Amino acid sequence: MTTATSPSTNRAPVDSMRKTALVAGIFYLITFISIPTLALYGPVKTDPGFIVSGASTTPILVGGVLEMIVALAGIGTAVALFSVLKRQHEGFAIGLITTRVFEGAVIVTGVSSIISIVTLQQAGAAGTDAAALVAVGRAQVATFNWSFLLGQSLMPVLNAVLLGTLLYRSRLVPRILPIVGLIGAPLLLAGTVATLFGLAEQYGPVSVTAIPIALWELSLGLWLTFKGFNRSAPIMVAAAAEAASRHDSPPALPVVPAATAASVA
Amino acid sequence: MTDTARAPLKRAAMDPTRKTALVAGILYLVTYASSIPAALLLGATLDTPNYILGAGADGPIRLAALFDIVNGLAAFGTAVALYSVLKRQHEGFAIGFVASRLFEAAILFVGILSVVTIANLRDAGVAGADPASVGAVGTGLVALYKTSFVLGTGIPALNAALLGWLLYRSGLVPRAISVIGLIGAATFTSWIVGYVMGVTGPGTPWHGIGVAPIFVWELALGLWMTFKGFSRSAPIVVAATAEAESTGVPATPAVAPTAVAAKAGAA
Repeated sequence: MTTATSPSTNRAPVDSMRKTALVAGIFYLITFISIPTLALYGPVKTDPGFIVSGASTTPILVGGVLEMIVALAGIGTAVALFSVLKRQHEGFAIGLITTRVFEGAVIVTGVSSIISIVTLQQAGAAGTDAAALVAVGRAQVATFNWSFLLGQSLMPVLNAVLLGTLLYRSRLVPRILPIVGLIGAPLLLAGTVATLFGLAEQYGPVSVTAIPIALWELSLGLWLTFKGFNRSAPIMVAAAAEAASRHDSPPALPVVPAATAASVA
Repeated sequence: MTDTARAPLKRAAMDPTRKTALVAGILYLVTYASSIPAALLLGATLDTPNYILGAGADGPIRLAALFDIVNGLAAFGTAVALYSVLKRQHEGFAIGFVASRLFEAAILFVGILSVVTIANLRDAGVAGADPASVGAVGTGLVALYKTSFVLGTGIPALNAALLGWLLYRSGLVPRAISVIGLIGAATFTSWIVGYVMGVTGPGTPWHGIGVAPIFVWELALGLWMTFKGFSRSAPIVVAATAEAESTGVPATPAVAPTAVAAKAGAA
């Protein structure tokens, strides 16, 4: 108990976990930056003649950049949370990194497809057959749509299952948040599979199946950013205890912990 | 599993790696159950010239895509599931195995995207684009699928080298299985190199000899882990069991009050 009277040393792990939550929360909020792409990609997705038109390609490039930010921020969420989540279950924590990396790879494949249309539209005037370009353009849009389906519908299902389970069990955030994610996962999976088999039209009414997952990610991002982890969660208690016991042992380098605490502060 | 006479708590601590082996083994078997039907479904459709221009149901290739998606996800699931055990042998190789399996799945997905794009263009018809061009695009997509299939399924050579070595050194499964994997890594690499150089091709004896050990290795490993688990005498399992038993001693309650105090101090 007496060791707890030196708050400057014991605060370090708790503070570093607050920083982890803040970084992860901000990354989560950044993943919502691509919402405008629904409008930015509008013309290129709906107009087969876009690739042979003189329409502005700037919105597509902006959309591509936003999506690449989303891909990287998505990986960032899992990497940032890893050091905390592995205390709950290392396999699930590393599983979350792999699904996030995979999601990012699929998203960027889609971006490559859609930006190819920009290149072809700009280069297209010179000696290429317009009808052939239309066919190529439609293939690129189809590839984009599929990578959107796999990257931004299917993978968030897996992310929600892994992270939702970890957060539900660990109580690091209020349980209602992971519950929304865990309910949303099978719902979005059903919508994704229906779209894959052509039973539902992509971006159509089936989009409502994505709402709980969107809510889960947004609420988690806000909670982690502004509130951080629940300090009474077993992981947080154990981390604080570890730090305290480390300071209990007298011969353990007295100078370094203070320096660490100072740098964190 | 045989120690039924022991108390439940004691038995739970007996082999903490059994669940890991079971999950990994099942995921290996899932990769077989999904990739084989996918290949059969696609083989029957994509080899049809100008399939992209045809009419009728494209359910088979959408179903094949779903099988291949499951295959890709199960593939890196095996490495994720095994990580916590394999890192005790060599953390670098264990995470390298996760990375190579993830890479394999990513390449596989590029192929899947080509396949479902064909389904999409076929559905949408050829309005506004001339059939000859759509046919050419379709041929290109099939080529992309086949190439990514060969490259993606070439990664198992790397997987087998990493996992085969880890399992051989650790003795987690019978060494004969690991040795087949290591032999397969070499024979498969020779085939991939030959294929890329244009010296050999699919369906040749070289192909068969190159692929067979990998096929046997992954299947044997999946079955063994599912039904037998890891060898109890492997040092990793012995150490994990000892750890599990020592943490069964209630050491944590004494720590908790300090932690609560620390929390109060930090607040």
